[in-house]
Amino acid sequence: MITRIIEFSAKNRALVLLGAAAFCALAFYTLKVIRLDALPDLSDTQVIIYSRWDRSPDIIEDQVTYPITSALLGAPKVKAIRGFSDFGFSYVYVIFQDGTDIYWARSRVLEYLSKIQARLPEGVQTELGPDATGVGWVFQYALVDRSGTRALAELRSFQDWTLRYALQSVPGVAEVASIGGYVKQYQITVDPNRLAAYGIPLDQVIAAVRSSNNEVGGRLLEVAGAEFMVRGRGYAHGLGDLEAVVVKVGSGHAPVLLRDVARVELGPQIRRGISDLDGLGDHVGGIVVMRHGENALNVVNAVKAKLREIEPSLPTGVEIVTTYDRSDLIHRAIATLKHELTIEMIIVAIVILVFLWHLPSAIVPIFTIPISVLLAFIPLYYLGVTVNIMSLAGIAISIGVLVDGAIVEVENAYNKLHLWDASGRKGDFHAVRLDALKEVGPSVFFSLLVIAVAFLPVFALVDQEGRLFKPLAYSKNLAMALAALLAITVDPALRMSFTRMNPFTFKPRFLGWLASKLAVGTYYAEEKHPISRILFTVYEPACRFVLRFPKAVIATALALVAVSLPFYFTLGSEFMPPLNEGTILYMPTTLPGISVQQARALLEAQDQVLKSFPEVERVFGKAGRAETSTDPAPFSMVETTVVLKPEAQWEAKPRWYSSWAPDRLKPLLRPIWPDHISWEELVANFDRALKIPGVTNAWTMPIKARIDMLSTGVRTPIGIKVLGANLAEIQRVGEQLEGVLRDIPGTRSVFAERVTGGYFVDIVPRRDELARYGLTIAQMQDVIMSAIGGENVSTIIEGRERYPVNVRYPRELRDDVGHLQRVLVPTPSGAQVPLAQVADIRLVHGAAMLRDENGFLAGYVFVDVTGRDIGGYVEQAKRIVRDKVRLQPGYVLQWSGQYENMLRVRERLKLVVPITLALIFLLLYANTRSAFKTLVVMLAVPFSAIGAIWLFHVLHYNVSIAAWVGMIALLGLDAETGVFMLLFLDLSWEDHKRRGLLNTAAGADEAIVHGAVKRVRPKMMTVAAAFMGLLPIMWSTSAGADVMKRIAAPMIGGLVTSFLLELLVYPAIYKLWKAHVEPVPAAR
Amino acid sequence: MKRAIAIRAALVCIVVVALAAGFVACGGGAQHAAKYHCPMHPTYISDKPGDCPICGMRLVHIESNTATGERQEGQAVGGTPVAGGTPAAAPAEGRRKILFYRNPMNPTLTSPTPAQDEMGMEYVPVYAEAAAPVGAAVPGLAAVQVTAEGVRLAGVQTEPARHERLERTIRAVGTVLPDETRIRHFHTRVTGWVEKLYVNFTGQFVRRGQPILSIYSPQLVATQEEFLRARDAATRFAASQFPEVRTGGRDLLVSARRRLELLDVPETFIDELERTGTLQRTVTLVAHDSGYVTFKGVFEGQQVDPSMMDLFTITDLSRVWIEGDFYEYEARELHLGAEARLTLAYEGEVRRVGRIAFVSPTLNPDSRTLRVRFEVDNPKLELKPGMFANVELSVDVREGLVIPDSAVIDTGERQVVFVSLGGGMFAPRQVTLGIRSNGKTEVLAGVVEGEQVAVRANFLLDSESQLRAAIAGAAAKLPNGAPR
Repeated sequence: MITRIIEFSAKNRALVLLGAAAFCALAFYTLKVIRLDALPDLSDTQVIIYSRWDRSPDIIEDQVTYPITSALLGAPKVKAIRGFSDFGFSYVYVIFQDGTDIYWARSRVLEYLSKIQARLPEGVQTELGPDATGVGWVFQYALVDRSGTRALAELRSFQDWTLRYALQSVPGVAEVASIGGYVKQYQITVDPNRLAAYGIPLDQVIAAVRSSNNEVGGRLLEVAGAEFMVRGRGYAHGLGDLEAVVVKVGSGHAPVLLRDVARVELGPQIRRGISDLDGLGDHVGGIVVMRHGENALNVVNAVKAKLREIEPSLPTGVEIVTTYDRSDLIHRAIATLKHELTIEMIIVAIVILVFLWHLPSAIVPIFTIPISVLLAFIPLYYLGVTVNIMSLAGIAISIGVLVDGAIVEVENAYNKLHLWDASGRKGDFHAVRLDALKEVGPSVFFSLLVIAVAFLPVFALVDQEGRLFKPLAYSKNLAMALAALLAITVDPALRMSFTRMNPFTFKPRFLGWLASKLAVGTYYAEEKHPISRILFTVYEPACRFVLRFPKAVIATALALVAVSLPFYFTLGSEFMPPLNEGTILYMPTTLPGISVQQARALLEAQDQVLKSFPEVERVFGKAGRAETSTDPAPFSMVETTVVLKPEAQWEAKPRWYSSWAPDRLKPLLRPIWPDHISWEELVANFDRALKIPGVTNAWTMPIKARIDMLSTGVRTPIGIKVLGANLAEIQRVGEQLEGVLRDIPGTRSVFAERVTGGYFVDIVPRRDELARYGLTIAQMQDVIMSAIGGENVSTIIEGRERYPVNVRYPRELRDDVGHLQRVLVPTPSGAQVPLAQVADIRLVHGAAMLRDENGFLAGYVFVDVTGRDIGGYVEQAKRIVRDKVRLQPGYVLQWSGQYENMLRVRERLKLVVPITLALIFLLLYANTRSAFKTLVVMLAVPFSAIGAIWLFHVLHYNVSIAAWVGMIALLGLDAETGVFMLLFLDLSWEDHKRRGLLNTAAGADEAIVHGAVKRVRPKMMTVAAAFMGLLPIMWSTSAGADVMKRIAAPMIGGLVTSFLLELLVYPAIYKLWKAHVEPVPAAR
Repeated sequence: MKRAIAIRAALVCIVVVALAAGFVACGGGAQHAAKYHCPMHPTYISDKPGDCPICGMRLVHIESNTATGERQEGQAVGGTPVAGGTPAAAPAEGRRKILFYRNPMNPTLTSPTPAQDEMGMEYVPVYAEAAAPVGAAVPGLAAVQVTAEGVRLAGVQTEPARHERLERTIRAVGTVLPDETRIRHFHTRVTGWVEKLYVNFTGQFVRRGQPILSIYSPQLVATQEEFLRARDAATRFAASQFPEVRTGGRDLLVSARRRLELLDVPETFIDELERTGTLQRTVTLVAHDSGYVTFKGVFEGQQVDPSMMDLFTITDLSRVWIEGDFYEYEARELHLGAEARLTLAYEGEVRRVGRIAFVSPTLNPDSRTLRVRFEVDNPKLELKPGMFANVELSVDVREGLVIPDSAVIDTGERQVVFVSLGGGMFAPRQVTLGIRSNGKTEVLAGVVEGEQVAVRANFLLDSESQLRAAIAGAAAKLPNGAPR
């Protein structure tokens, strides 16, 4: 079947090549339209229900979060419902099963939400978060007023009502969130003394304001055949209209106007988020949030185009300054990968050229690489996989392997042609070449398939790791599959196109010589080949040495494996290898409860320090939350984006060459020994400069931070959720668990989350006192809400803009507990009594944030386990907890955590890995027809582990799934090289046997040496191509290289050791095996 | 054979070297009893590097309190230099007893005599008063060492605890009222008809003796006639040689005059009547007091009689009352003679000082308030009855140890301040607070005079302190957690 395809392709060269060209054209088109992003979208299918209500966390929990979470229970395909209640905000995350369509999920949530929306308290604004996540923060900007004349409130209004809508209309933008500045608000600051003097209760003021700002319609009026629309005007325009609102008509018929009892002015709304640019103080900023699954680059470009369009209409003196731009990273990452891909291709091409020393042969694999890479984009596009660092890395790590098939084919053809040439050119060389191609074609196809099959376990990954690595698996496997396909179609067609066997003889002679070299080439015997000669001189003595001490060699190899394995456990681990995004996100954290003013002072001080560094281009700090449901940050969490200048401008660091090397040489040396401080050193410098008491510094990068913050579940192997109704009890149980679990063997750390940090002023009504005045709780609370809290009672409409009207007491009358006591509560009798008379006011400490899981209050206990089987640990822990921890009725312990995931993955892997191994085994077996040989081939796996582990150790890398992905990729490679090794040993053995040279032990050794040494070139070539192809990745320092390094490192390390050991150990094993199954007659 | 041995030896060597390398690598990790915590969740503390279980951030190494580069902090703590290193800077030096001296960078190193550390830094004196509360640590809080840079960045500022006069104010709404003792009603004492009104509108100012109205009253006319008759009789009888007759005639005149006077006929009118002997149809009545017409109940031509309510109310406003309503729970603060600041809502910053002249013996059951009266002179008539006044009553006026309000971190369960010990060291102190006023708080216990307390950025000091305490607590729990 495969041979027939090869034959067909060889015969219909034009058709095949034309077809390939057509597909390449299609691939070019898809390359233009395919979605680009820095990283794959890692978010769960998650819908956020976001509610705003200026209440404390426990009130929000009781009245908003809990009703919403409980209403959503039982919605289809829902995996988990997690609620958070913070001051003024409620977030309910509804997480759907993997693969659920986001829009389907959103409409389910809306359906369930509609049941309870009417039952939520008045004033709660509940909405569905955008179809985006924090990872979609692709572009951020700040409004800078160069003229120094614009008020922050004015800029904020411009941002909120003009800029925001303009940018929100850009396709792909889910929302534009505003941050910083002041939101304009009409503030009615009532004077309680005057109210008391006039005998006006506060609610009368509120009612008066409410009913003095509306417009109505009076339907139609027909006059003289025309119809007139009747309007009752009455929007309050500006402060004057509000001041003139009548509150009461006094006894002397004198109206009491609002201005008689209150100050009406413009002021800032309560702020839950502030921002700072370059340490210069408050600035207004905007965050462009990209819709889920969009092309980040296109969105950013469209946003920038829109901004350019808007620029002329900006208020004079105002400028839009970009504070974060994801497209830079995407461009850089894609450029890095393109660069690496190009370098790899060149290196691989050089390797092939050097090894074959024959251009017409080399041209085939060299063409195969770009074509198979290019073609891979077609299925990627139709599968909806984005082009990102991971998918490009998949291609990058397979480049060296892609050509294997082509190399083997070409090498075989070359060898056969050489034989044909050497034996006096009998028969048609076309037929010889075709036969040569057909001879190895099937096994080439299968070996490429083995590599692809070996990579299948990656598809078994689920959740975040699945989403992270599937693009890589897709691109790698597609490229491999396409390479396999090309190996039996385009490659033969291409190879057959070089028809000449005789050198050109036309004049001038050097041209003829050049043409001959390019199109015809010289065929050398393997022994005479320049590269082979070097290999032989090195390898032959080694091989002979090995054959002398086969057992010792095998024992050494096994010892090496045994020694290396423990080092695996000293390696750290991480979820995702770091992607150097080129932008720093500085996330200092204080304890919860910090005030706006303190946070602002802190933010400014920090930004000033950062900005003072010469490496820093721009600093944009944010404390608290931007106006988006994708940002649940409290004030205690500052996020400062630090945009850096190009590395060349960083602080210089003298290197050994700095003093003497000429300037032209320096660019060459820089990539290896950079003459400026490194990223880590820079961050360390920042960190040293920012030692502020009470603040812990975290240094991360924007995308990484957003991804980290995405998942809201437990990240330790084990998490125990304590579910119940009372927070104090939950905490008590958590602390008890902490104590109990600490003593279980294998516990590395236990940490029960403490929910505190909130400061409260509790106004507790004294019911008997209330009764004395005939007051209800609600009447008292109305006063708390409006006088102290400040109620937005109406909305002023100014053209397109809308601003709230707020009524409250003057700040100086509500800024401490003593003053709160004097807040007046109107009684039904008309008298106004102070709050202190009917309520106790006290300060208490409580939870700053509440967590709600599937309708219960939840507290988490995080458990990390080391050196034990997690399943067994959980069993034991559960037993001990059952014995020792008393739970009150209604309290539930739920065991969860990554271990569920790990178990699930393990379950899958238990199924998938044996199947994969069986498939590989079968494929190998089909190829070698020997169970023993197959096993020997598989022996390459532990050998490669040695190199992988040691290289990781040397480079101080952590083990991540990326490393495992690299190992899995290595598995296929190992099998491939192992097969070749054995194949050539077999061929040589059979050849010697046929020639009757196996009668002596020396003869047998000779046969093995011949098989191992004489055919070292093709083996060396495939390995060298793979190895050298990966090397440029390790040198690279640009954006995105770090991720690839983690994948490439195990491959490089493993490839070296497995190849070296294969070269040395396989002959030894082969010898012992042959001695066992076919004892040499002479030995008897 | 030799070769085989060589190979075996090589093999053994390789294994040994590899294992040794392994042990070195493992041992390297074990040497540091370092601790790590999550930068975002600082209370999660682990003895190994890794990721935070809550947020997945990479854990960072916790640096010990006494990091390097913390020299010179004493010189630059906040707005007021905290010169803990120089004993002269401490106020009230003479009264305080120095217990010992401590290393400015490491509070655990102490010396009984003044000393210098290896870098030439003066040891900081530790006073007897200061030492005691430091020892009695606040649970959950630890002393904090801050670098000079940290102090500057965080914006820590300190202020000393001082003895100051302080007071607490309670506020109330006051109303300007006419002095009840200066209100006069104007009535006629006869029935009659108002012929002419001289004072014609409410609010008109009336001077004492100024004509108010002319009245025609038959009774007055009759009385005038009687008077005239009496006058004639008196003239006639005056010539009589009988002294009884003379006296009787005079008495008659006097009593007729008295009758007119009692009917409120002005004296001038009577004199005129007596002089001219012409009977006047109308009588002009005059004001008895100066003041403002605050009520007018009569119109020209109106018939009036003594039983009518009143024709005019004339109020003297040269002295007025300001009455304030205080709530029940403030009642015990109200004493006669207590001083209050009175501000008119319409007058801005002009302040008057009044003293409580009267405290109402009963509580107003409707408004649940107690009335308090201040008497105020009103020569320029700025205080107009009906005006609102703000009354600020100073109570609890006394001398006390005072710190700024902003220094106190009040968690509801306890009040804590951070006291600068010099050298960038801040110690938490639990304090007992007295009264608060005008941004100041009285400290009853916990701080002594002259000690510098942090007044700005103490939230950050508190956070740091809690973290340090948590780390120390966690260190005790960790298996190999020797606190560093």
